[in-house]
Amino acid sequence: MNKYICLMLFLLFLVGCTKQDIMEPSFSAKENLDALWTTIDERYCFFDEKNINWDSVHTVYSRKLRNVETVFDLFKVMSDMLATLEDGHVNLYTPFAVSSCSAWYDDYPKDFSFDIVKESYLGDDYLSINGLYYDTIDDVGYMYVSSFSTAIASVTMQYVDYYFRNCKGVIIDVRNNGGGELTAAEALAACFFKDNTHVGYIRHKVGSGHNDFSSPEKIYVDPANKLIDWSERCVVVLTNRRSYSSTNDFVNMVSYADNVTIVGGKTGGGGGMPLSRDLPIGWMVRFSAVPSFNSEMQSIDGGIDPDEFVHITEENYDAKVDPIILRAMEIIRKAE
Amino acid sequence: MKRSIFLFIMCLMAINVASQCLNRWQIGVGELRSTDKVLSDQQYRGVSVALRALHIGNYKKSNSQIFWSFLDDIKYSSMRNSSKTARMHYVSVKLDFGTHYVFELGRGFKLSTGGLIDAFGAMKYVPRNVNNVVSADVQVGLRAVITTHYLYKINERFSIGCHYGLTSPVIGCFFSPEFGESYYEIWQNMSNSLSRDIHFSSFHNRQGVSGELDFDMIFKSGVLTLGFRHENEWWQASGNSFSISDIKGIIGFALRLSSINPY
Repeated sequence: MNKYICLMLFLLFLVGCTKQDIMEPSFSAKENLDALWTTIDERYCFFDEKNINWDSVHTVYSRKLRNVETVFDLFKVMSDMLATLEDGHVNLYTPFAVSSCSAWYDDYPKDFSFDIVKESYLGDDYLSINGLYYDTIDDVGYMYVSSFSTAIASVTMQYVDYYFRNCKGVIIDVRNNGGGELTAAEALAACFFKDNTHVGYIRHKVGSGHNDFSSPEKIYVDPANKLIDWSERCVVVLTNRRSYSSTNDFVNMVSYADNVTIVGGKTGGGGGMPLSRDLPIGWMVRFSAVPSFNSEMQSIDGGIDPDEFVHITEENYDAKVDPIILRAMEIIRKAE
Repeated sequence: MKRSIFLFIMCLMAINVASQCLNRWQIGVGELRSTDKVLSDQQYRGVSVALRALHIGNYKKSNSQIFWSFLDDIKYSSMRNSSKTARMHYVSVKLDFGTHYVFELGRGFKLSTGGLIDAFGAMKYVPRNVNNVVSADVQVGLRAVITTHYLYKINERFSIGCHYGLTSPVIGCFFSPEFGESYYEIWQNMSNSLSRDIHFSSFHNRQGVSGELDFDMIFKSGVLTLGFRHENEWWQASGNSFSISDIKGIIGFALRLSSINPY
């Protein structure tokens, strides 16, 4: 009997010994690079718009595999290859790092400092909930939406509306808002509309060719989904280059509302809805797959110009002044 | 909507306690493998658990050669991709209603053939993904079924039954998004999307075979069943491909609540 128990324990020991070393899993660099290249080749949606020769990218980065010895080397080659797309929606997710690309905002003014907003305008008494910061600045309501990752609850917006009841207008600040749920952006945008309004188009890839797209489908903002009714209020939306992804869609939608003025810098774009796929090594790649357009069928992936360009200068940062907020307050007071 | 769901559940419950038939309840544990190009290029595999209720009865007492069957099957599986870095949660519900004709082949041997009207729905959820976190399998179809039955009577109190049945999809329709289409788009343009994303199915785009082997230990007071299931199905539409492969061991019991014996 003891002999069998010993045999079982020995077998269990052998099973335990077969556990793979997570630091250096066995992988084929070529297989994984090819899988990544093919996934992007077949499913990425902005090749023609960005004028990228993806075949030559493969040639260049395949050569770099010669020096790949560890997963970190492979990650470097793959993330460099993805960086050629200059797309904030393209990321490589691994257990030890996530690649990202900053080329789409590096050369633009920052146009935002929440520290200045707090110190110079909100003070210490502002209210906040789930990434939403709001208070009144004199006779104007100010609401900073830092993310659309979480939907704003209807009841929250009703309280915000009540808090701003005596304000002449509302500033909605979406600077440095990197996006999140498109449905959350839609629900907030719907607050500024009275009627069902056509705001854009969406299409998707129907094949592996770079230009295999479906016919465009219209996108509407439906006021039936709105959290509150701000269609009669004077609203100014503040943007900068880091207003990205679903925030870019939000800005596109509100640009069709009559009572909304957009002030600040050009948005960051990210008009392609990202999807994700697994690679053989188990890493995940996220990439733009579903392009969206404005109602004139123009791409919004490169960003959306505001109605008025206003930038924050170095002097403004030193003086702790935000001219974008000041201009928004001016617009609201003039409208009043 | 709520009323319809309530009525549907009540109907299911009523069928599940139908007295004029053979009622078979089973639980199965096995391995499920799934590929779904909407979610991932990799195959996911993991342990699955299924609960099944099968009810069989004759349409008429006078004719023991034609009988009906009703199956409801709920399955859950937690699977991992082949590189073991992402997880998929899988839930499916299957309902099928069939009519079978029994041929007597010899002493204890029977063969039944027929058709099943099959409704199947599954949700696959990969939390690691972005936007394409969920994929749905929905299909309604007609399946062909053939089953052999053998009953070996050991004595008055105990006999052994053995059944092996094969089913295969014949025609129907199923849901598959277009290549690259997101569920957000489908939701936004439901009327256009559904007409585009519902596909007619036949052998050209949906193939598969499922088998069920059951051993019944028939006691005077009830029936203990042990079984084995294998299910393999693969289908393609609009550049997407899907497959499911399921192998299970089954244990359960059956109650014959009337004198009707469909076998």
